This record gives sequence, structure tokens and C-alpha cells, in this order.
Amino acid sequence: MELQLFHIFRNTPLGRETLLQSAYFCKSVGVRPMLYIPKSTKFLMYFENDVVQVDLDSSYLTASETARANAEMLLEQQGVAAEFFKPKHYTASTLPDIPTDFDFMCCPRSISDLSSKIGLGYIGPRVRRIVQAARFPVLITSPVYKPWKSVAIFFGGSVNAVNAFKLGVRVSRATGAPLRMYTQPGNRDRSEYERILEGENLMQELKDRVEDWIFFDNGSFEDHLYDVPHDALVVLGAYGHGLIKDIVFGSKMEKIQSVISNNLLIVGPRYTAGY
Amino acid sequence: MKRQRIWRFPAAWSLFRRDDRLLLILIGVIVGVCSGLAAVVLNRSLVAMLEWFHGYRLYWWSFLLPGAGAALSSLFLNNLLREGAGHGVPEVIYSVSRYGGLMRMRSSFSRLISSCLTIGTGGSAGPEAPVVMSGAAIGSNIAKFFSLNDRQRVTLVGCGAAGAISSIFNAPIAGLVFSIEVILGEWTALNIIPIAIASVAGTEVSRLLQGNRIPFAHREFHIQLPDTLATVGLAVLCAAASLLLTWSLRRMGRISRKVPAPQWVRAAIGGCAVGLIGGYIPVVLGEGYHSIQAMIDGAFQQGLLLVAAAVFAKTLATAFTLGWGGSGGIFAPCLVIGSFVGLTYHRLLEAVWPAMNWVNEGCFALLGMAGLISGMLQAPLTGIFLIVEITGGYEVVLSLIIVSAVSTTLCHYVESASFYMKDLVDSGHLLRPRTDARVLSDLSVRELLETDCICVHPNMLLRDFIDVLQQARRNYFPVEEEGSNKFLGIIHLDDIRPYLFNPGMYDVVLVGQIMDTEVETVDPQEDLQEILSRMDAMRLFSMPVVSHGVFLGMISKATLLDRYRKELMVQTQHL
Amino acid sequence: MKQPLPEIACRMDLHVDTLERWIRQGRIPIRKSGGFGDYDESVLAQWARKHNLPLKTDADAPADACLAKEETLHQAMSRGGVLHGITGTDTESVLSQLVAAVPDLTSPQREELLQRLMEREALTSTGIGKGVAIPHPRSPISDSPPSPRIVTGFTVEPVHYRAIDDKPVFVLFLLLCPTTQIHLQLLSRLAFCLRDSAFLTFLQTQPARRELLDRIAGFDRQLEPA
Repeated sequence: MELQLFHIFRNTPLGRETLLQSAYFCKSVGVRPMLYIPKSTKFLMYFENDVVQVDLDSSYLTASETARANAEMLLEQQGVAAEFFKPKHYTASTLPDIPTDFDFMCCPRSISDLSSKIGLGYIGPRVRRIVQAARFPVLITSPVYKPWKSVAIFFGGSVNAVNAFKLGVRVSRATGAPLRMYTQPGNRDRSEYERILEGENLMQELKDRVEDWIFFDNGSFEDHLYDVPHDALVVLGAYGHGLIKDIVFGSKMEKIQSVISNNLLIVGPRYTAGY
Repeated sequence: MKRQRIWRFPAAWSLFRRDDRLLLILIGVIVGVCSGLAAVVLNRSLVAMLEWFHGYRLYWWSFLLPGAGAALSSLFLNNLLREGAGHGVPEVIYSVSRYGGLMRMRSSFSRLISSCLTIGTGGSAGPEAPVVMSGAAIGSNIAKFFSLNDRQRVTLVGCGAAGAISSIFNAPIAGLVFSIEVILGEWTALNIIPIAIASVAGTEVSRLLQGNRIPFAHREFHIQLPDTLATVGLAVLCAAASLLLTWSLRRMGRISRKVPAPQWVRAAIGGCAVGLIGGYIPVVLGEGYHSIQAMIDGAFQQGLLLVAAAVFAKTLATAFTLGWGGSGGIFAPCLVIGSFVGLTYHRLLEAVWPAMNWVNEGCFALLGMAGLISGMLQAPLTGIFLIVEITGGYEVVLSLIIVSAVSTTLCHYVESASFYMKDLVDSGHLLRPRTDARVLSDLSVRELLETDCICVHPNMLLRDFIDVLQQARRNYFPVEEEGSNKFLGIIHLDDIRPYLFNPGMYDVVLVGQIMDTEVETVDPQEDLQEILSRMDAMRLFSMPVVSHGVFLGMISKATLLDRYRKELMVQTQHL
Repeated sequence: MKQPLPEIACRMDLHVDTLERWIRQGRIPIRKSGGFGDYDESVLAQWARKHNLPLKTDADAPADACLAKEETLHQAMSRGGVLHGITGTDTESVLSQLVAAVPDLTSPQREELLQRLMEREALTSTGIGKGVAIPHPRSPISDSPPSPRIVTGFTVEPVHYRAIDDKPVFVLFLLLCPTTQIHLQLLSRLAFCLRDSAFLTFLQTQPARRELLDRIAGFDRQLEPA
């Protein structure tokens, strides 16, 4: 079955950048974009064991009469067919239910607060809840349209990181983009990380696809992030080894998102790859 | 999973793996206690609010109070918490039907505060629906916290609702019956036991904090055969009253939606209207439990006309409160209107047959309540048990059953579904367990897809196609464009049988010439119910599933029957 | 016991989606953790018996058999091998050399295969043009090996093969599959490669086994779903 990316369209210049980003992702990875033009600011997403209410920032409702045409035009320019999502079920008349069986979802850093807050180091509370509950990876876009030419995986050895690795390999295979891996070794060395991948039968992929595996040996993690190319799609797990906390992501994830303005493809704790 | 977090996943403990009944009972107790507490808190704060505002009732501007309360509650609900949902109980039933009882955290307290604002200032509504919603949301969120599955979560939602009703009325059996009859719609031992325990827990909490008292205590009634017969007439009147209430609530909702003003302004208008009515007939204000008590005691002095007017006034006030955006339930207004109806009927009887020795008017008030509850909710058992428990009047149980049964049946003639479920039924969201709709909505097209069809190309010679045929297990062969995999049409064996036995055609006919291009196709996103009705309408047994021009597989009634049976077996026999 | 969900679904003859939904709805005694199902074998077996559902044990269904992945050209070709320097001037002599090169066949099977190939050629030539031929039997031969194989053969001199464009054939892919389904799969993959004219020129250089397989692996990756 065809893969789908869910995108909530905001008919503003900021929304345009986000949509271009989605369109680029869809075109390169071969995914079909599914656009939702909200009619009301609220919607519910029923996940497996959680229900998330998203209260969209009111700018999502601007100029709803031109929204569809604008979105179609933008996607057409990128050569992607536009498809629009129409909610089937409603919890209440102004509260549509959005299904959660998409394969990707695209979010700017914040969807429920004013867009003026969007910046490095800030990811809105709703986006966090979605990442935590969703079985699909979430594409958090950079504020302006930024096509990426390569894929960068952050690999810390945890279960989520293994999932991120698989996803990164999938993306790089579908796009043909070169793939690099980055690891901040704690007190372990390379062979231990390799053993983790070997345990998951991923050594072949490591050999075939990963061009370079860079270890940040000394110095602080933030300094090394400069080495990540500016035009890379960063794939990472939301949590590492630490105890799962409910409000913040893992420490590495928080650091990365506050230093890097690249596009991030985030794998949450409930991510399951499609079969 | 970290060791120290194992307590968050009790369903994984070896004790509960094989059988989770004990686990459900234990968590049911927690849920019952929490929702019982919520009910007590709402009850206490309502009493406090009413007392506090009582002093202001004498001023001329007191009619503004319900308006201000309703506006505040609407602001709180829609702008602060952004709940964006209706009365409460329908939403609980919806989430139980569609999403295994998943509910939002904010629902567990939102209605408590907003209904407190509405009712405390004099709005005509009941605290029960908000408490049921809170209890259900508490149950759902506790289940979420412990990562329980849908079946367990739904049971806990039922526990929450039961605990809430039991606590607010001090009526454990009514809580149990309401939860199973209205919220869950499924009577199994697996459900009933935890819910019964939760009812006990909820009642116990309320008894500890508020004392064990029967809400509407009454004197002994000596009910005789003529009274029992007369109740049939009361039932008819009750049915009419509940239809009137349903109708006016809906009508008001429609009128208020036409008013071009923000929601809180509408709520304020409705509240002020209630305040004005209350200025003339003060019994309509608030949840009205005091007047019920007065009527059961037979201490309600007004004459026939005034009581009849009160029926209409209370109906109107309730419609103004709820239809215009106030927050609250219809349970308490039903009880009040019911007792007014009972009283009216009693006065009528006395006027027509003054010679008869009718039973005390309190008894009729009580029967009227049962009639209205059963009529509105179309849940006769809830009506019977609730009234028996809140009045302690077991001696009238025979008449109660008659009133409830007749009233429910009559209402059902006019309204096919109860007030709570009408919208759900209309939009196809009422999915009771073990029904056809439930099974069909659970199954998805993806699960039914038969993918073992062999695709052929339009440029294939019939001779090559026959080679393929030898290997095939299916009678359908989708034809795809070479290279692009675009779905072009389908070959059904029945249609081409004549050519198969004519070797002369083997090398001249191409697959593209014999395929059927005008096929009805199915989109994988479609609902099974729609697909089936399309199949029935066109007398088809299989249809190809095509997504964006690409063939995915076939869907057929044969596979559907197989999966349907499996599904039904798994749904009906529990672990 | 922990097992990936698709494997459990396969053991119970269910769709993965159905299994996942049943777990979510709490109808089946399995707990989900990530993409794995965690269950107690005896409890599950008892449950399956009660609900009249099959539960295959690992012994009678090797887990990967039901998760049949699409066969890749690389696998089939490396099983079949590459044969250089085919001599001869007519179809039969070329085919008999190819058949002789198929690994793991008994001699009666070889005879049957050659006969079936010739029957197929008699119908219409399998020379698909541009100097390529894909000889194959019309239906699988008796007791054919369980895994498909493709024998690649390069002729010394181009052979007249009665191909559809009448061009002489310089490369042959002998396709031997256990089922028609796999046959069609591999055929469509092969056709995909042969549409690439760069690949055709590459074939004309009569590449060694190693180079050919590397090239094919590249095609396989392109064809793999993302």
C-alpha cells in the first residue's frame, strides 16, 4: 500500500515553507502527501493508548477560501499530486477525529502556540505529545524551505536509535541520498555499537549504505554538531537510554533540536515500522 | 522496560496474565473511589454555591445571576479548556463505541467546574451527567496510566460512570444498571463484577463523607389496585412530557445556533431567560432537589393549574439552560419534571374522581420521576432501580415497573433512540458490542484483502494467459499496464469461458481485448458497511481494491464471511 | 515468549492488522511491546483452541515461509550461475548446453527440462529482441527445486534464434521457477533491467559473474519498496 504523509496546511507564508518541505520529502522518498485544511482549530487524534487534543494556533484558519488553491499550486510546482483529507468522524461538531494510521506526519516546531515562538530549542507541547504517542515518525521542519541532500542518523545504541537507524536507511535507500552516522560514545567503543546493530541483523545495511560513521570523541556534544552538514535530514530517536520522562525528550534530542536548524525526522517510543 | 517501572504495567504481572478479573476489580475500586469523590466534591460545592447566592435572590437584578454563571461556564469550557463538546454522556458513549473508551484528561474535571458555575447560579440542569463524564474520564485515564487494553479500559470507564452515579444518589444498584444499560450496552460477568465493586466503592465514599441518607425519604405508601391501574395513564403523560422535553431541547439548540454571537454571549442570554422565568416560578431554578423532596412529602401546596404550569416552566428553563450553551445534565431536570407531572396527574384524578381514596400524592410524584427518566433515557431498568433506591420505596415497585415500561415503549414509538443516543445513531456511531455494525466497523479493507491474485498484462496472448490459468487459484485476474502497474480492468473467468475452449483463438486474442474495463472498484479507505451495501445493490460477490490506479487485491464476500465469523467468535467468547 | 507480530499473525493465519487490533482491544492474551508480541505459549494455545483458531507450531511452519519476500534476481542468478562461451548455431544445441549448466538437477529432470524448453520454443520463440532470449518451460517441471534459479549464458557467436526482431541472440537467461507466481515476478524484474540500454551494452561485453551480479544487485535495490 502507498505510504502517506499527513500535513496540516497553514495558509500563511510560514505554512508555505512547511508545505514545500513536506512536498520535497514526499517527492524524494516517494510518499503521497495527505493535506488537511482545518475548518476548526481543534481536533483529536486517537492513538493506541492515548488521545491527544490539538488546539491549532488560529493562523491555521487564515483565508480558508484560498487555502486549497494555494496548496494545490505549491504541490504542483514540486510535481507532487495533491490529496485532501476530509474527516469522517466527529467527537463533537467542531471536534473532528483525525486517524492515526499515516506513515509520516509533518509538523512545524509548534502547532498550538503562536508561531512567533517557533525557534531553536522550542518544540510545542502538542508536537511532543504526538511524537510520544504516534507509531509514525514525525518530520519537524526547519522554519524555511531547505532541501536536503544527505541523511544524518544520530545513533546512541538504544532501541529508539535502532529504529531511527532503520528509518534512516529506508529514507536513504528510497532517495539515493548519502547516509552518515554520528555517535557520541559514552564509555563504550565502536565495537559495542556495532554489536548492537549486529544483534538486529543490520550489519549488511551498515556496510552497504552508511558512507561514514563519525564518533565525537572529545569535546562537548554541541561543538561537534557543527560537523553535521547544513543540508542533511537528521534522523533520530526521541529518547535515548534515560528513564522515559513524560514532558521532555532525551537529553541528546533536546540538545540537537536546540542547536541544529535542519529538518528533523523523529522516531518516537511507540514507532513501529510498517510491515 | 525499566525494572523500577514495572508497577506501571500491572497487566504484565504473572498473576494477572491468564485472567485479569482480579486486576479489573482492584483498579475498579480505585476508579470508583475517585469518581465517588468527584461526585461528592461537586455536590458539596453546589450546595455551598446555592446557599451563598440565596441571599441575592431578593434583588431585582437576580435574574442576571444565571446568565453570568452560564456565560462563565461557557467561557471556561470553550475558551479556557477548549473542550468543544456537548452534554457529556453522548461523548462517553461515542468514545466507548469507537475508540475503546479513550478520553481526554481535561474531561475529568472540566464538566465539574462548568456545571457547578451553571447550576450553582440557578441554571436549570443536573449535576449527574457532568459527574458521569468526569467519572468515565477518570476511569479512562487510570486505564491509560496502567497501559490497559481497550476491553479493560471500557470496563473501567463503566466503573467510573457507575461510581459517580452511585455516589451522587447513594444508590449502588442504579449506578451499576445505568452504567451497563446506557454506557456500555453489554451484560457480561466480566463487566458486571468490577462495575458492581466500583459502585460499592463510590457509594461507600459518599456515605463516609456525607452520611448514609436516602436522598428523598418518604412516608409509607399504601398502594392499592386502582392506583396501580391508574399509573398507566401517568405513564402516557410522562411519555408526552419526555417527548416535549426532548423536542424543546433540540429546538432550542437549533434556535440558539442561529444567533450570531459568541458562545458565551448565547449562554448568557439563555441564563438570563432562565432567571426571568425563575423570578415568577422559583422552583425551576437550580437542580431542584428541594422541590422534589417537598412533593414527595406531599408538602407542595399549589393547585392543579400552577403545578401544570410548573411542568412547562421547568421544561422551558431546562431548554434555555442547556440549549443555549450552559453546562449540565438532564437527569435532575427529568426528576423534577417527572414529579411535577406526577403531581399534576394526581390533582387531575382527584378532580375527576373525588370519591376514590387515592394514595398520597407523593407516591405519584415518585412514579412520575421513574416515568420521565425511563422515557428520556429509554432505559427502563435504570428508571426503576434509581427510583427504588433514592426513595427507599420498594412497596411501589409494581407500579414503577408499569410506568417505566409503558413510558419507554411509548417514547420509542416516536423517537427511535434516546436523547443521549439520537445523534450517535443518526451518524452511525452507536456501535454496541456483538452487533453487526460493531464487527463491520472493526474489520478494515486491508484485513480482508486477498492478495494472491495473479496480475496479467494487456498485451499477453490468450495462449500465455492459459498457462497462467493453470497455476491460478482464483477466478479473477486483474490486468495491469506494463511498466506503470496502472490498473486497467479485470478478467473474470466466467466471462471468458467460451474462448478458453477454442484453440483457434489462442494466438489471435490478447488479454487486453477480453478484459472487463468497466469494473466497480473499492478504495482501501472505504468503510466496510458502504462496500457491502454497494455489493448488495449490484449483486457482486467480489470487487477489486484499487488505490490511486494501482491494484491492491480483491475483496470478496467469501473471505468476509470467514473473517466475520472469526471476529464474532473472538468478540463474544471472552478470555 | 517474544516473537515479532507478523510471525505470530502468520502462525495464527491472521492478517497482521487483525492481530494488532485484537491485542489493542484485549481480545487475545498477547501483550505488545514495540513490534513484538509477548505471550505465554500454553495460554495462547488454549485460547486458540477455545476460539477454534489455528495455531501452528514453529515446527510445522518455518517462520519465514509465510513471510515470503519477493524473490530477487540477485539470489536467483547467483543460484543459477553464469555460463560463458556457449557454442553452437541452433536453438537446441544452445539450450542443451544451458540445461547442462543448471545446478542440482538429476539427468531425467534435465531431459524433461530440455524437452519442455523446446516445446515452448516451438510455440513462439522466447527471443525477446535486442539479442536477448529468456527460455523457460511453460509450467514448472516435475520436482523442480524449491527455490528459483536463473542460468545466464553468453554465446561465443550470436546465434540465430528466430527472435521476434530476427536479431541473433548473444545472451540467454534460463528461467526455472517452482511456481508461476515467482516466475512472473522474476520475469518482470528481468524485463525492468533489460529496458535499460546501458545494461544491454554492458551485457555485450560478456561480463564476468562477479560484475554481472553486482550490477543486478543494484537493480534489485531500485526495485525494493522503500
